[in-house]
Amino acid sequence: MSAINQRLSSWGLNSPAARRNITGYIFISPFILGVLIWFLVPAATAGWLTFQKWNLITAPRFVGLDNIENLFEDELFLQSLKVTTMYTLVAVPLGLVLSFFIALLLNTKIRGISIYRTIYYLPSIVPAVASAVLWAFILNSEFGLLNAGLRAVGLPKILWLQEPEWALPALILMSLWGLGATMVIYLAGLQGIPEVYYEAAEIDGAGAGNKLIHVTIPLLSPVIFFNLVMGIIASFQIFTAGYLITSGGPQNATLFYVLYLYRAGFLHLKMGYAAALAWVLFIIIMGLTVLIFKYVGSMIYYEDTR
Amino acid sequence: MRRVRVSRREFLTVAGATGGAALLAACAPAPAETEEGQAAAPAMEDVELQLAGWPGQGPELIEGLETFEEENPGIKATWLETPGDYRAKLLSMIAAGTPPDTAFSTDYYTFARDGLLIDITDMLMADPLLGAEDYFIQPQEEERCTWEGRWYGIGSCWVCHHVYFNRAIFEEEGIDPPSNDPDEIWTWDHFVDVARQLTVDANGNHPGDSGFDIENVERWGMNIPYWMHWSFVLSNGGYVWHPDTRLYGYDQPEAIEAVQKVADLVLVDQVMPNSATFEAIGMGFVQLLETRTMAMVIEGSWSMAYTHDMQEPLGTAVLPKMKVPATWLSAHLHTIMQGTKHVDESWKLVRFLSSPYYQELFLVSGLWLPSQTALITEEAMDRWMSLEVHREGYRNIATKWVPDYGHPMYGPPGEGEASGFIWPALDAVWIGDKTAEEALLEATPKANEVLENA
Amino acid sequence: MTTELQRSPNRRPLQISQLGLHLLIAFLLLLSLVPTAIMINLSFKNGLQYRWERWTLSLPLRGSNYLSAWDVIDAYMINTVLVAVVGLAGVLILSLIGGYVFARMRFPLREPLYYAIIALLMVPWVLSFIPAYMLYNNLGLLNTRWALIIPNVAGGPIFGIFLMRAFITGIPEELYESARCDGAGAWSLIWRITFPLSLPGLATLSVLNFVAEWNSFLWPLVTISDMSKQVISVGLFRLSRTTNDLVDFGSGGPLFAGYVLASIPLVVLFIVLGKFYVEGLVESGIKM
Repeated sequence: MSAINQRLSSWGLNSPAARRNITGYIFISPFILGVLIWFLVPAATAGWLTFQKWNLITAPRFVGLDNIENLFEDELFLQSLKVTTMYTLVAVPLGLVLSFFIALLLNTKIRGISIYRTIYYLPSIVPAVASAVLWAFILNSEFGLLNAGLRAVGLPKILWLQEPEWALPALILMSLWGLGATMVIYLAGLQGIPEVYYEAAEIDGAGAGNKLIHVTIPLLSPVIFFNLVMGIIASFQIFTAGYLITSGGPQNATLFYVLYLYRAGFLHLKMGYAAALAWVLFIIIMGLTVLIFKYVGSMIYYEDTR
Repeated sequence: MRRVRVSRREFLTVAGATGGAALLAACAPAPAETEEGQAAAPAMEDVELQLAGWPGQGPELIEGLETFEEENPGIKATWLETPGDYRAKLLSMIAAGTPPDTAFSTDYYTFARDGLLIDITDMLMADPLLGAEDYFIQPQEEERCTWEGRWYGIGSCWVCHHVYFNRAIFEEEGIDPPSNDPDEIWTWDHFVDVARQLTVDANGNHPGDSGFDIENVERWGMNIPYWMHWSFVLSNGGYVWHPDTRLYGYDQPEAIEAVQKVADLVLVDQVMPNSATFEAIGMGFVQLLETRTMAMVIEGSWSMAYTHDMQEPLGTAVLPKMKVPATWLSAHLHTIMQGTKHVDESWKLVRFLSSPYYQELFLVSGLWLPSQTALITEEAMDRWMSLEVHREGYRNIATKWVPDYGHPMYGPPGEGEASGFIWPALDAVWIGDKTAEEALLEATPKANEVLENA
Repeated sequence: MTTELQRSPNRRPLQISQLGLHLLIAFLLLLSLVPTAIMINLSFKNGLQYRWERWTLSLPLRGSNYLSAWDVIDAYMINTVLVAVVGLAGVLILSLIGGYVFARMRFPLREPLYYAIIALLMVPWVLSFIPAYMLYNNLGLLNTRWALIIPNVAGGPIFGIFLMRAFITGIPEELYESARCDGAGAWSLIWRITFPLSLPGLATLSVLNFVAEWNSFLWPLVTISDMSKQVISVGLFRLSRTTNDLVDFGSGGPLFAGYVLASIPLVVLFIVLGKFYVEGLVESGIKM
């Protein structure tokens, strides 16, 4: 024991503070260990696969940078990147604004707020498989509910899932149905703003618009930022809608990145290439997040710097 | 239950007449149940076989496997069902080195080429029953099952495309309905013409009439799920994959013309709605026909199994011909996976799954069509065909349409990736963004490059 | 800011605009309810009603659809609850400890380590799909419930630590100081002080984690072969395939009854934890 203490003190690790350091590592080690084994080992294997040609069937073969070079000649890779970026650029801001708006509406002191909250949250907990079937119903161009509505007001029908320019908007529309989750987070943020701020603003003669711009938005900016970052991370990995409803069509208009990646692996039998695609996606999301932290994060108002 | 039961004795006489092996297995003495017997015969331990596949097979499959176990003491056959992405499941098992013993085929030619399937040619040829020259409907069975001349699986059955129609509508309109007999096949032009007469808008106008209102159609003349244009490429004298080069033939004039004609049903003839995926919304053709939303529908033969409670009289017919009568044929194969420790037992199972007894289980409901000659005799059809399921004249589908005009179509290696160029191109044709010629001449070389390198 | 605010006139909102507000809320509420309402409506239809009266309410309601659906999916629901609850327990413990460590303890490389964990949030799930399958296979874990529990316990705390760190940062330092004066060790600081004060945060995490588990589809599909151990989203997919909704309309009702049934546990969970959920979000002050 003393030998160990000696060794520790020789590293300067015998002070109470140092012991606390080690406790930190010990406490966190089960998690780190879990992540290493169950998360990073497979991810590292995927990293290794990036340099292999592997059809899942015969043994992998080293091909150097072929998989990465192939990316630049792959028009479907570019298409999937384009589709996913467009989806993100529209769905994320639209979702942020709309759910913020609804949260504002609901943040009045009406009775039964928890019921409203639950009702809005409801769509985001309907099983994804179920909501896919449901939306295929609603969006069908001949017999769907949406076109029945258009017909009722005398508008021509829209080929939601056959026209390439409409398919992505249709899926964005569908994503808005799941706003509840984001909205609840806003609502929480709104309820966390102390009443005194508004009272002070009212004394200063601020109207509803001014209160929104000068009190609510700045104080809510961390929540908005949180939703933005989480929204982008999730949106770049969107898969289910394209997989279950449109199969990436029409004309690749909903060929989301992860769907293409999944196909590359399991349909095209190119696991090495799929791994390369996955790494590129990771780098894109990572890069975007860093950029957002750098340029948007600095504008965030944190109430107290703890 | 409307299902006709096939007696065990009947099966044993069929199998036993030429199938000595099965009979021997069936008659082998059961292992002694005394303690002594068990100790003396450790080799009698049960062999467990897995059969992997997808859902929707009905109780017939389990019934079949139970019969198999009864006939083959010492072999247990377990059904491994994957409700979703079967391909992903099977590939994961293979990648991990633990494939199932036997499986429904997916990517059959790729798997055969890459050595994933056990070559069963010798076992098949040596088999007194299955090896007989006239056992299967030929040449289609050999065409689908062989890769480079060797057999790696046996087809479960055949399924094809044909027409379904609401007989009452034809009677009311005084139009002669199409027939199940390929000798009375309609031409494409006649088919489109009838569809035009049957398409009616809210004011009683037909397509081509002045004032026809496409936004308010009361009844459509017909519908074709777009992927079924395959049958018409064949009918127009073209091919989807060339039998020798295995490359796409979508850049050939016959294929281009056929695709354009199918697209024109919506774009020019206006006899069909542009709504490619009714299936996805649970709006299948039974509903479309019985609510008189549609008069005729082209669909897969397997859908026969879901028509029994249709509220209006149903008729069926062969597809119209563009140049020659033709239908796409397909169905999964039963294969033995490389890596199984029980090749002999697996062969017994695949052999059983290829028996008339097993196939007949699925014929009764209308889900399958025969791939074995023993099941298209009048006597056999008396057994498995019934007017409640198979409507009037349906025998022609089993005895003429499939054997004489059916073309097996199974994707060559690389098809999964190559089709990633073909389908989006076709999407553009169906809605009129591009002509078939523009879209397919652009896409086919890209797709064929993938096939060449696969 | 003050001067700017003073310039704007002090307008009292009119009663009419209040009414409009409520109408707007009601309208949006209705809109968001439409698909759910369709689902419930369809779940009570028999074969003919399903075919002929797809969108309208049709009588009589066929409640027995729920019995038929329950017969098929009961085992899947129970399996999912089992797997999700065990996994969730692990996630909560690891996230609480991890959150505490990163919020309250000081040690070298703390910040880089924390950011490395945040970065893991951005790893696409497909990246490790096949390698993970092979790993579970080599360890003999395929077709066991561990194959469903372990990924959640290992991966769940990534977001969990992120959330709990934000939450625990908000707990007043004075509480910890006084406890330390009483000689409390790190362990009891976690269990005696952090844990009771973090309940809302843990409730938030529970809802999010449970919903995610409830929806996981591809991984269970591929790793679990034995249908008696299978989970609900695969079970629902199977229900839609087995009843063959594509062509056999008689079964549309039970299918949607199954969808409704499968949503109920999540609705209950949200109603029970909803208040804490929001509280947890408020107090975490969600900082990145």
